[in-house]
Amino acid sequence: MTSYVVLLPGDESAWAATPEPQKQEMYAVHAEFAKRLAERGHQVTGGAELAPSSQARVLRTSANGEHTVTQGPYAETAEQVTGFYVVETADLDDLVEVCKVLGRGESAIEIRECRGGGM
Amino acid sequence: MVLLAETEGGWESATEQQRQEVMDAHTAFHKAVAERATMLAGEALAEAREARTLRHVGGAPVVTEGPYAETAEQIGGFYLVQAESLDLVVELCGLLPSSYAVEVRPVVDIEGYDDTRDWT
Repeated sequence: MTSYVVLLPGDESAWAATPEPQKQEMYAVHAEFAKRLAERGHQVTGGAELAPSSQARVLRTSANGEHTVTQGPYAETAEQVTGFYVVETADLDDLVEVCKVLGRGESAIEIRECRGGGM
Repeated sequence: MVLLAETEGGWESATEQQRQEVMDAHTAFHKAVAERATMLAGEALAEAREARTLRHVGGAPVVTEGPYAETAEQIGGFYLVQAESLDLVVELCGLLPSSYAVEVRPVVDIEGYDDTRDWT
């Protein structure tokens, strides 16, 4: 089994403007995603929805070891990570297949292998 | 949520000594978190070029190689830390390798959807 992270980048302003009933529909899509993963032998070992990137703080360290902390995300991209899952699976292709469920609302889904080691 | 962003290829081109410094910084971070907060999860990720990105184009799913955004820095790993304040997490993150841009963000509690807390 290998662990993969499923990153959910999206347009945060669109989500903020989404009325509550539609947000519930989106959560239902995530519930269906979880159900299908379980049915097909993939195991979700973690995940979270993140607060908007405007609430993020970024810490950078200069060559002489000085820290600076700024408000906002590390990169000013149109899409920001809005949440993630960690999924353990023996079948990456099928994981990608199941991720298509999330396409009903999530604009992009990045799937990447987790490496052991220092974490 | 602590996102660790770094320039792609940084780890691959690092010397043995630089790698050791990075590992030591992570060890120091783990130790400090254990003392002052709670580590819920953490993963190092494969290089972003090994990612697959799924998008729906005109309603049809399209899978491409590579990350969702072609930025100079890419997420190389993450930690999920439970702590009394964001300030404390930012402070602890000062122990992480200096080559990272460290983005710290709260997570959202979703009512009736609490399986996200079931980390082991």
